[in-house]
Amino acid sequence: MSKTNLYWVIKKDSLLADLSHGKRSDKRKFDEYRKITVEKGVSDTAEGSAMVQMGKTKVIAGVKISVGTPYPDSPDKGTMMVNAELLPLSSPDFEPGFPSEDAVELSRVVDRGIRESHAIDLEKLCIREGELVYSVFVDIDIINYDGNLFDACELAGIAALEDTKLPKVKDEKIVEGEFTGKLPINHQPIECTFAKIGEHILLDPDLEEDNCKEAAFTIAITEKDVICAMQKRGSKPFTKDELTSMIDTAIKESKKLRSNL
Amino acid sequence: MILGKKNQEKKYVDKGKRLDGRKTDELRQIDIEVGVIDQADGSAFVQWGKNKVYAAVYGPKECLPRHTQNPLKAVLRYKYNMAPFSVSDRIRPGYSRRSVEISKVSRLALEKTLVLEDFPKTAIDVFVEIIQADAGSRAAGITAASVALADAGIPMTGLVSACAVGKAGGHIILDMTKEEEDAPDAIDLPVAYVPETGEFTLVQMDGELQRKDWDELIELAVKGCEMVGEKQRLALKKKYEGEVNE
Amino acid sequence: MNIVTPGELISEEQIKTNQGVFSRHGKFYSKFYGILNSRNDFTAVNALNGVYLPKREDVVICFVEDVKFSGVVADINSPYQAYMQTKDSRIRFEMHNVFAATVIDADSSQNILLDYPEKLTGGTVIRFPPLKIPRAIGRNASMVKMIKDLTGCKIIIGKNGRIWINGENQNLAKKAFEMISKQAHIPGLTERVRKSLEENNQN
Repeated sequence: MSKTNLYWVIKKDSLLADLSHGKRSDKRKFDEYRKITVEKGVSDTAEGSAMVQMGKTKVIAGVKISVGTPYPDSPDKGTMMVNAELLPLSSPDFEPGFPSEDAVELSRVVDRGIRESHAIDLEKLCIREGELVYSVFVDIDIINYDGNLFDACELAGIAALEDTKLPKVKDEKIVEGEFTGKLPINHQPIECTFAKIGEHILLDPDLEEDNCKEAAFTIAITEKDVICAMQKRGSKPFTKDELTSMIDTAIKESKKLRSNL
Repeated sequence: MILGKKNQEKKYVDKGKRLDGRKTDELRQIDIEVGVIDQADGSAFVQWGKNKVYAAVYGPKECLPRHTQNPLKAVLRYKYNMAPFSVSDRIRPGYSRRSVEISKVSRLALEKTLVLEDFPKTAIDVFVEIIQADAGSRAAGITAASVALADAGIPMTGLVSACAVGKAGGHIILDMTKEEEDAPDAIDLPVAYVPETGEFTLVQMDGELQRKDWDELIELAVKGCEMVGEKQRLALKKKYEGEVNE
Repeated sequence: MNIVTPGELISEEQIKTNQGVFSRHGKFYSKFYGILNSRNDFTAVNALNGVYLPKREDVVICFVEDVKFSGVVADINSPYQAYMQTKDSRIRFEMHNVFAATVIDADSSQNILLDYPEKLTGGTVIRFPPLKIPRAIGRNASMVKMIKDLTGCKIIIGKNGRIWINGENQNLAKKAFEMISKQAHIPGLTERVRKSLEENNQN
């Protein structure tokens, strides 16, 4: 058991007291995001990349493209995979080694947001049906952890995809340094995460809020206000009204997030 | 055949200038920033040519599992990891034999100057993440890690500075790029060195080395590491510079 | 302000010095990334950062990590665990309780013994760099006294890098300590903190 865990257990009472007075540590409203910056093209070795800062949370996403065989049940579509790494670099609570269940969940929820929104036009990535397609890998590294990895990773993922150039393929192989154009992107999914502490629901939890939370809810929304993924986390439940309220807030606030792309 | 001829025609050093315009004994541009990861006890970010490297230190802290504790001193743990998008061919996340070896030799490179006896039964974790690589990433990692360890307040008898020397196109050069490392006659000799004591704590090599080249190579390695050491010290001093003038 | 780095030469001659300096072949070098302080004939290097190492008579802020039959195991923000006997104590301790205590023994095997507990309820605990705690206390406790007076809060400073604050204006006190943490090495700090607290009181 990490020593840090005990510190958050003890912090929770004073945090709850502040929240009961409507106060968040950085004076934000309960449905307000921190300062966000998105910088595209931060890598020379990736086909597309982006660095996102949400408050002090800092993540870097890199897109690598290769060629491979399609999945048997979708022979005319390219493949994609999203992987997020909880680097032990960024927090004393992230252990090196085999991905924890939290790391796997983060990867899969970020992946779902991009996949279910059909953000990438996978049909345009087919080179020879049933035999050769483009494979898109989105890898996201957490550099500095200050809460709310889901939203930061999703934003970095989609920003990196928008920055991605599609490499030329010759004789079944990628030609280094030559590109056929941009990766075809049809939608811009954004994820909004809420943390529940006591009776209070907070958008974009910072480090303290994220570590003291009793439950969390992440909603992925496209630019057309279509919800394409949802994930509830944590041990405490949500009421129907709470879920509805979070969805409405997400629809509104996701637009602000998306404007950074 | 034609391809071979092309490689041999490539002039790695032409009139004292290398492919990127540097002299044979010149380092790439190195920028070091201290204290970049909030939750770490010490951290550094190094941009070395096109290499981009983060290092974070956590500790001294409780050493778990218990059976790995050393009753007489702190246990140093070093983990070198490359981001999947850090090189042109994506690296699958997870175990890599190369990373395991680099982690081991890097750990030994740094251990020598740390006063580990001051913290028995504890562990000190060093995590190095290569965000972008262009040859010399292990040297950049060790250089960043040494600064991060100092930033964490770990007592030490000196900083450890690293660099690589080698040969390309018949010329002995300092701090190779990937292009130079790919030369047909390439020698890659990474080292870690403690400028204050003149001790080498890491020496590796691959390629074909002639005895006659050794003296020049090792002298160049010393010179290179001393220059790196200067950069490390300046970066540490610079961290507080701005604040004094407020 | 003279910042020194590990292995940097401090003196080629014999000097009176502290734990922050080591000698090799008759010369003296800095052991830390720290500040060099030379006064009269005493030269010291004070580290800018570092973990808390318990010493006898230190007052520390502890969290109960485990409750055993005759004592508690406490988290004292150090790589070493601490233990306190509670057999004869009238205070009942439960998991995750916060309490202040005094280190009564810190031996070479890093077994830390605590006693003279005072349970702390309510309020908030903040983290503070252990090496800068003297700044938070101030000469003759002048800094902490000033913060107590201007915020009306109960404050207990633990040498182990934890500060317990309780009171209506605890967030104000919290901000004052954050300021000290960031500017500990810059002269004129006490006045700046006083000004900041007085300005906030007027609001």
